[in-house]
Amino acid sequence: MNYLNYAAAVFLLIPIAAIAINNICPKPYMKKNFHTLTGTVAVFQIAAAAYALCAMNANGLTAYDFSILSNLKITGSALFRLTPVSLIFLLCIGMVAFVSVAVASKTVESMRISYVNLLMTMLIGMNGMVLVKDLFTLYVFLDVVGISSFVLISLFRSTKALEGSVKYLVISEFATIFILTALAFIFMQTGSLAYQDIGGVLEGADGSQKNLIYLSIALLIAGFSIKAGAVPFHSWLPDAHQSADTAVSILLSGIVIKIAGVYGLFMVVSLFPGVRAVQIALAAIGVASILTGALLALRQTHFKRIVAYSSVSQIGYILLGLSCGTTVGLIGAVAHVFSHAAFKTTLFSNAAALHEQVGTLDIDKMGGLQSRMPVTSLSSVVAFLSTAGIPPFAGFWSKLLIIIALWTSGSAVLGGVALIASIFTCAYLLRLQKKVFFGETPEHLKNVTEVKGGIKFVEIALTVITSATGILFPLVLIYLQSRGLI
Amino acid sequence: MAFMVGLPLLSGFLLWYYRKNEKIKLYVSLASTVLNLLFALGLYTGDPFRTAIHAAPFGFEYSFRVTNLTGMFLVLSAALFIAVSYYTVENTKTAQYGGLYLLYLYISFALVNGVLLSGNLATILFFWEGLMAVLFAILLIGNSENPKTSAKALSVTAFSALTLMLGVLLTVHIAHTAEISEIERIPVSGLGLFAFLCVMLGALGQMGCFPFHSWIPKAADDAPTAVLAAFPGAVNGILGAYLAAVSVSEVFDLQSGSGMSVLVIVIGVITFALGAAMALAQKELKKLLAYTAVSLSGMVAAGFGTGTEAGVSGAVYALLNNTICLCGLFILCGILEKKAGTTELSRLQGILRKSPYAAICFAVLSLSALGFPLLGGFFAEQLILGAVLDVSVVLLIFALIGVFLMALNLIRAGRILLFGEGGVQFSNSHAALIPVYVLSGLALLLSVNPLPLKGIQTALNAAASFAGFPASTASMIATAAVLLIAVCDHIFGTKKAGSALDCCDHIRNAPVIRNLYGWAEKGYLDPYQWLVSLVGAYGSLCTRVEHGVSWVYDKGVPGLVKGTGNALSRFVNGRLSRYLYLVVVGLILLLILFFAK
Amino acid sequence: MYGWILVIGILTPLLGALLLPVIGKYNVKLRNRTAFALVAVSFVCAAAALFGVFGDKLFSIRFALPLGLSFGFRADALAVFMALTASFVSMIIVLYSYGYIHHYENQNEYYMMVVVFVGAMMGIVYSTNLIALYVFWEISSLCCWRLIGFYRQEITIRRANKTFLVTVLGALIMLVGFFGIYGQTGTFELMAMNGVHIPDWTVALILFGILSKSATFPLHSWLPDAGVAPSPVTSLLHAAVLVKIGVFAYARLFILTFDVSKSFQTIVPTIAAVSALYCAGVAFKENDIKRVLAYSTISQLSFILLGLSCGEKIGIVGGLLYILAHSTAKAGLFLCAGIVEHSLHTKDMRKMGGLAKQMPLTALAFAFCMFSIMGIPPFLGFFTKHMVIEGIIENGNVLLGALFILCAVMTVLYLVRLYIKVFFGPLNFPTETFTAEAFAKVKEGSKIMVVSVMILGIASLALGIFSYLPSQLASMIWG
Repeated sequence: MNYLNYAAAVFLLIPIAAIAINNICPKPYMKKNFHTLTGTVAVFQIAAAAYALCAMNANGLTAYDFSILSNLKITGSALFRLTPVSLIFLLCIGMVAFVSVAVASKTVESMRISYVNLLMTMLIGMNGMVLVKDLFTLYVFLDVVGISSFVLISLFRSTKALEGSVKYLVISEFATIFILTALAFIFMQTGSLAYQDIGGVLEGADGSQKNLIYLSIALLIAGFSIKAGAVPFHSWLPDAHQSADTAVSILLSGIVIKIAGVYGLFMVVSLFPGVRAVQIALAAIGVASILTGALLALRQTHFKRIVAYSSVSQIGYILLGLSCGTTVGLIGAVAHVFSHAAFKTTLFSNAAALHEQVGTLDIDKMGGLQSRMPVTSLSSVVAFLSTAGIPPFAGFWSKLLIIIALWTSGSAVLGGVALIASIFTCAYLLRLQKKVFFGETPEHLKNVTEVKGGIKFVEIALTVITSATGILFPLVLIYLQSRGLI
Repeated sequence: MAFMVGLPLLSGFLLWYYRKNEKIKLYVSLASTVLNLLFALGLYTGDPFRTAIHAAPFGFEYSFRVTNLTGMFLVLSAALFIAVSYYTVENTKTAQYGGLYLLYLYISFALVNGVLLSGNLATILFFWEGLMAVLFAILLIGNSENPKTSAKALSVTAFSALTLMLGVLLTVHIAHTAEISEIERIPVSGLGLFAFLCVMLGALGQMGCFPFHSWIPKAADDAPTAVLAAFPGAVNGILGAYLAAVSVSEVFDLQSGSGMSVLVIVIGVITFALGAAMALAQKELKKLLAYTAVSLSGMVAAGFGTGTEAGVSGAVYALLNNTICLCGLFILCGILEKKAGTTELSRLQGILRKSPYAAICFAVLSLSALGFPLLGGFFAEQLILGAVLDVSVVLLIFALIGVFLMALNLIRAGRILLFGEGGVQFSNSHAALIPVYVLSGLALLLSVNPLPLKGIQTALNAAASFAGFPASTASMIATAAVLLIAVCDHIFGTKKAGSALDCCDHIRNAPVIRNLYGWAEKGYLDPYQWLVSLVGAYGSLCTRVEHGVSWVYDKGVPGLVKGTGNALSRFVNGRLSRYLYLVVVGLILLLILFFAK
Repeated sequence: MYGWILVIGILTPLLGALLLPVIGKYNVKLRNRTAFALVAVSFVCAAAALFGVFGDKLFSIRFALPLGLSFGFRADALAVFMALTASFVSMIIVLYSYGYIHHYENQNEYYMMVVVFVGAMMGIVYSTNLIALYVFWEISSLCCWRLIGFYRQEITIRRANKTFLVTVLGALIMLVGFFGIYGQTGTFELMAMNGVHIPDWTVALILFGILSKSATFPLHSWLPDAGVAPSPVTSLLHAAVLVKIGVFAYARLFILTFDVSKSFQTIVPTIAAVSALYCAGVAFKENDIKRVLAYSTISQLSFILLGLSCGEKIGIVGGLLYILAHSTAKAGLFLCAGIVEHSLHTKDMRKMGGLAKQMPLTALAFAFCMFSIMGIPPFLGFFTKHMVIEGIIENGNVLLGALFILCAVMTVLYLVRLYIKVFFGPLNFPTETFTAEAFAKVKEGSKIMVVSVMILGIASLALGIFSYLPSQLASMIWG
């Protein structure tokens, strides 16, 4: 029981400690093995999350409140809360951070110290968002994540990166405006922004108050959709991801849009359950982003832009999962977050590998790399199949759960459309495969060799994770059934 | 039962195995065919019975039966097999694939026995369609260089066999059983009419009637005479006639004079007349005999078409007579070809002048086929013509035209071979001529004694006994007159054209008939050409549709999807102002959604 | 009961295939043998399951899962029939590919994908849950994609992508149909839904998936294009096994499990008739030997679909036997075409002629398989064609019976045209690649290829003569 307290503390204290070490120790030493430092932080996070999950499951806890730097005795002083859902998010954060660091060890040569600092602040921000118990601190950590990602995108001074991060900055400001006004309206109603207080506010409210709350929910959804990169608000995502360094875009696409955006919407759905308008809004945004993301991805020629648009499309599926409001839907959405984290980071690490070995990411200039770079191409095929929801891999099961949830919650047509839309996912990823890996090797790529070191290890690890989750998913279903969730 | 089918198969493999050794081949072939004949006679005289073998897949049942009719056909086919196999063994001594050829021949004999013995329609089909493959293989042996004949033969026989299959399936559907003995006579109306039409087309097609006849003359161009002697000569005629007889007498209840019976008679008469007309114009003995075979099968078909007992038994009788004569003529032609090296009529002029026996045989066989009075053919022809007269006079006139043309044709052939002056002479090598003597003897036997006619009537359990004296004197007089006209025309023709060879040119070049012949040469009248061109046109139409379909798959749908993608991306054009505009629009939409309710 | 035998039958090829590339690095011969062994294992398991069927203690196993997803494997008569057909033909094709593939690169991927495909086929055949059926269905589409793209040229990859997209779209639409059933019955388990009536729109959607996999008329365009793949692939996928998945699904769902409205007994045969006649027409004018055989496959599949959908027991048993007859015969034809293409390096019929002299055995095997497809006794094709058409006529639809007879005639026409043009007629060879002497030296193709082709030819004949054995098994399916 008591280890849980230490495990919980890891999520916030370890990154702070890492920042401290990073700035105290002599620069050349830190420059040389920056990746070992951040790597250990990520590993710690994964281990802590895993341990906490087992511990909570062992003694049947559904929530564990804890606080840092102040003892628990005073009631209400516990600032943070651990729930199984947030633990899964933390696990994803750890995994993506580890992958990003492994890729960064090859791609990031300059500005390593500031890279580590910014990474750690972003980590704290994300962990905080997931652990926090009230909306305002959620917003605070949201902004910590936002700022660190602006700077990270433009860290390496390329003009394109600057343009991408400015767009992201401006549109995120809109998100902040929307969320803050929404918080203000809700605060007027309830006087406190803690989750348990907001819970019952909607029933009590009458006429004008009800409209006010509807307005704030709309603003919240808009704000978090911007952060999640869902369709009407998605336009910043491809530019930001394309121009950032690959290690950064792994972080951005792999986890930031999910924590900042999807977790926020997850909170909205859990705080205001049963509101028909929320479900319709999320469903509309979801379907729109699935279709537009896929259609736009079909015509891009830059590898990372295709993968970015694919994120927009997959976010749509997660939103669909959230929109049906049943527990199966939530489980499907969370499962899709996990599998999306896995296959998205694989695709981006392929991008990093290609950038290292081939020098360009323009898919028209590449071709037939399967024979020259077998590991990268195998991992890209597995990622493609998992994204498209082809059975033996993790993507299929999470998408299946989402469709089952949609079907059982009455929106059958939506489920049908979402299912058939995954043919577009197949289309643009098949095009990618044909242009890059699956074909004849042109002359100028004859002497390309396989990528070495961190990236290769990460690709293999992620492929194993995707296929293992795919094959062993029935066990997860049985576990969930035993916990009575399905 | 299995012995009848098994014996030819076994001996076929034996012959193929000992193909190098002549002696064994001769003995094996003779022994097996004679044994076959004895067994057939035993079955014919024995009482009818049924057995079944339960080794068939789900929907099938191999059942065999012997009735009077099958017994008679078995005896006929056994006799012909002896002649054909004896001739073939003699003929294929030197041939490269002799052994393989004999194997195929004996397999076809086995299949014929199989068809004749089978008790239900499905088993008939089983053996019937096996013949297609054997015919295809036999025609391919000799000339693998130009396989056109075998392709044509397979396609045409396949079409007729598949029409037969449709007819059989329909009959089984109507009668709810495939056993011939259990089917009570199906009225030829509605579905039964369609079933009858298909079965008759299949049966007559096998015999060489109009829609499916065109492979026989083509085979005459390329295939060796031994094939012609075996297939159009014996096998096909027997099978087609047997099935027609069974279907008219047992399976279907054909009202004579009904629409369907008139149609069959018309088919028969057209084939009879057209076949004989084409035979007139041939410059080559093999092709002449091939067309004669086609036209004689027309006469038999007309007989079946009448549907009356007289007509049907006349048809069976005509079949017996025709197959014997044709088989003999083909074998004789083969022997002459071996001697003279060619079958060109111009080179065979007067070949039989010096060999009286062969000449007599040729005379007997051709006159009997012609229907010359007092010979077998005459009785059969009168029965058929009498029955046709009962149906309608117009058809009788057409039939008489056919008789007239057939008479001209055979007299011309006889005149050329027997009385023409020419170089090559045929010396009497009796050994080779034995099958011809046997067959002419049989032809004579048929004409004199009434036993076969009585046998046919009992087989078809026909009530009226009209053996011997032909029923309608009118048709008899008419035929005699027609034969007389034919002789005068022949004399007139030879005097006009100067030589026997082109004595019929005055008919050939008559104004209307000339371009008819022209068309026939170019193949316009050949149903196979119609089928191929029709299917070709249909194929190119489908190919055009296919190009359209693959355009949709390769260009259409991808183009559409890319188009929408381009439109969307033009809308989201990367400028920050457009992004902000989108964000605001998004928010407004959300608000509308929330407050619309 | 002995369900674990089935699990072995499915998992050994699926998981064993992953070892093949590893073995392939060190010893090519060993890899070839292990590939054959893996396929043989599934054949043996199917044979073992045969005893279960005849002793009527069916092998079955079930894994419970929530949300109606509990899947399992069950070897009833239909499953064993299909499993035996598929694995028998696959074994021969693996044998054939020793000779065909040995001088191309990325062979490891080829063997892996073939064996995974056989595993997926076994999975489809035994699975008792709609989602498990869909899972193995998609794995087979995945293998089909990689195998068609084997030569890695631009055209082959585009065709492979086209095949993948069409079949996956069909599968997705079928999955929507499955969800329609799920919405009504609340479970995906076939055993729990015996005899349940399902609404017409779900049947239509599932039919869309089936027709896309069995390449029937509107969705057939991917099959002829897949001719760019190596011959063993086209024969394995597009003749013998892959296209049979759709027809098997039809039999499994609409005959054995669900009760479907009677109108489909006329709709499906009409679609089949249109597809059969259309593709027979196109096959008649086609000049590429593989495309002719591909179009012929499409029109023969419509015969099978006719048999299964005509609602008469004779027709259904005929349809199932037709699957067996067509698999062996068409696989043989494609493999012969492979031998011809392998030695002449061209697929264009107009550049060939008189090959029978130099390739007598291939010509003979081709003739045997061709006769079986034409429906000439004593080959199995005759009995099956007879039963199928008897089924539709017994059902009262005489016009369709006549149409299918017409189609059978066209089948004879285009097959004879192909056979005559390639093996007989004046000696003709592709002049741009061969001189006269070079062509004279062209021999039969390697021994293993000819042996496997002869096996298929003789199998068609033997199955025809002893056809009561498979037909007993087939007739037990109807119960």
